[in-house]
Amino acid sequence: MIQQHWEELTAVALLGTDRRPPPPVPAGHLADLLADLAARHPAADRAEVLLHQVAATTVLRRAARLPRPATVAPAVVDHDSRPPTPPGAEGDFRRITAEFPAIVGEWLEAVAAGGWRLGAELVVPVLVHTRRDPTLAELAHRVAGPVAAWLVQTWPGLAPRPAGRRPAPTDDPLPVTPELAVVCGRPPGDCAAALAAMFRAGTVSTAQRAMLINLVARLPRPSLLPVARALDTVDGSPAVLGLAAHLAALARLRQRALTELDPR
Amino acid sequence: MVWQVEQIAAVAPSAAAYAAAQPLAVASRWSGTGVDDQALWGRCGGSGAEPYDVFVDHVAARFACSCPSRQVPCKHAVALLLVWARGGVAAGVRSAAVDEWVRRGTAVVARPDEVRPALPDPQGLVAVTADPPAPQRGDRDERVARMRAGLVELRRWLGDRMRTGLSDPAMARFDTWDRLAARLVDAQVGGLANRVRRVAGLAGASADWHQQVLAELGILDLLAEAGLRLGELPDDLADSVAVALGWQIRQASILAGVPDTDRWQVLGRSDTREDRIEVRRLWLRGVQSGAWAMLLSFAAYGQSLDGSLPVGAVIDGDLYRYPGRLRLRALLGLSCGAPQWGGPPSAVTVAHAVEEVGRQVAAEPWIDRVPVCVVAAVAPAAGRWWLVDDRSMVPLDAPGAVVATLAAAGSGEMVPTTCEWTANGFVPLTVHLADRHIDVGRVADASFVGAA
Repeated sequence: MIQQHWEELTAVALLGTDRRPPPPVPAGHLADLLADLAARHPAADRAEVLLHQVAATTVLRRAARLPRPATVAPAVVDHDSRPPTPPGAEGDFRRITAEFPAIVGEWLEAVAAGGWRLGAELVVPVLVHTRRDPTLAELAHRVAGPVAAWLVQTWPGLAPRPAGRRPAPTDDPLPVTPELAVVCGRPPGDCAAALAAMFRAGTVSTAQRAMLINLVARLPRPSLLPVARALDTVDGSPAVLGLAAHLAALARLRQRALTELDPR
Repeated sequence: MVWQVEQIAAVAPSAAAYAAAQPLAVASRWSGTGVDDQALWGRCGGSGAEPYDVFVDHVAARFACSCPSRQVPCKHAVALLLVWARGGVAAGVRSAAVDEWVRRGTAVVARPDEVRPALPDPQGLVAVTADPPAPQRGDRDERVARMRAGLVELRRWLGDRMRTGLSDPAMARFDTWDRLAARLVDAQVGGLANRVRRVAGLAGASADWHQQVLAELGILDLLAEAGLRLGELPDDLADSVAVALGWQIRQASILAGVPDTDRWQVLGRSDTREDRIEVRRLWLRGVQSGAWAMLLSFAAYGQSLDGSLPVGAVIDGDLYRYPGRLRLRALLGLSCGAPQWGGPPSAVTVAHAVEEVGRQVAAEPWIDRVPVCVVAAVAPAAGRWWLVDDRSMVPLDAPGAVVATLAAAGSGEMVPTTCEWTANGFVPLTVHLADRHIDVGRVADASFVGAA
């Protein structure tokens, strides 16, 4: 009854009270409320009558609303017994996608290798981020578990995009120059010292930024912190300092993110 | 020395109390008045059989009244001061009762020269933290007059809209609303100006925008009418109305109140853009009391929002609540310890949450958001998403990515979820799991606010 009255009020308000008078108020609480109001503060004209009715009906509709009986049940997803990724993983993933997307694959591999499933806060961002890369999407679905298939069924926009190119097995996802590849293969201390020496000697510059990021992205874990510390000591132009700081940040992020995802 | 009107306004405990005193500040309401070099006294006829005895020590700024109000000074004391300031109280000889009260010297409150009114804020939102300059004579009276004129103009504008109809093409023009909002800012009812701008954003934005706009116009009319009758309202309701209109209350006044001490858990966060300011709401709930409170922070372009309290954190401490009927808005006291991680909170059924929303809306019909923490899952029905438990369901108002995160969190199980009720549905803010709290509330645009 209140809903019908509200629709009548809307119809009058659309046309204006110059063209149509306010509707009669249905008997009940609303009528009592408006009668009480009119007794104390009589409305001056049709417009004011309509405003009083609108205000009272709005309050009644909001305050006296009842929930609907539950006619649907949520779809139950198969249980995934793996533990969810630690809470800190969300921040790492957001930083990786924003600053170092080259290591998304490594991060997903670490999630899988650690026996984790994606925490609920990560499932949607990971599916969205990886859907254009068939290899990453496959990995993402694996670490997300059964909930991924259910989400994709419900929100088809989360499904992997078929246009994505699957890289050939021979493709190196993190290519580096032969000189840098040699540095990468050295023991941790030597690797850090060699990279710092290259910066000091000016044999690396911002022109090689992408290759250097790839280098740090493929460093074995024992080399990460020594390299980060060595890069902290680099001196030079603001551009070189900025590059060294960026690489050191990547090394530390990898170290922290991978350590956090180690199997418990 | 006779007080000035702005000094009286400054000692009034709230804008609403000052407004409520105005109708009483006429000589015909008073008897037995008198004043000497320290005391001011009189009897004010109230709704009861007996008039109220009012005493004021105008040197030490102390007040007493036999009325039941807990406000100091009450509206009767403020009214007596106004009568005196307007030359309506003659010199007299104090009675024994007045003399004893003056000598006893109790209920000390602030000296008028230490209390200053808040700066008018065009946004109607930002509480002033710094001490503003001393008021000029007649400022407060002028402001009340401006506010009343603004409210009368708003009601006239609303009446015109009802006469010409919402199908009038002018309703779709932003200028129509913006001019009204600007006039309300001039009238120093910034809270209403913000509401008008929000309504402007609804016009033409959805298929049922006429219904949404009409409902908001009804609420605007309700607030305007209440604002014009502040003096007739109960104190707590008058305070709620005054805050909704955009009257400012100094933070110092709030912090001088009685604190609400508890272990407070941050259950939700939501950021909303109000014109040129980003507003962050933090919803806290007392672990012992179960009472909700809201902390606000603000950031203009390039400024940072307060990120010191993450969702899920628990702090021990004092909250100081703003006056009003629901008293949700609060300030955090300085004595709180470092935040600690808290586990999942207790939550209620969907039906219980809706009942609680109804109670709060009935108490303050203009309220935009009501916090609830409900145990439920999400499910689709009739072309939209719902928050569902075993017996009931309510509509959700959230983007697909948020609903998907809720779905992923629950995986079909019901989980505690903190939401804000709004007229459009329940807006999810946080999903509480055993080992984490997933914050899904709207986040301020990073290109607008700086990093916290």
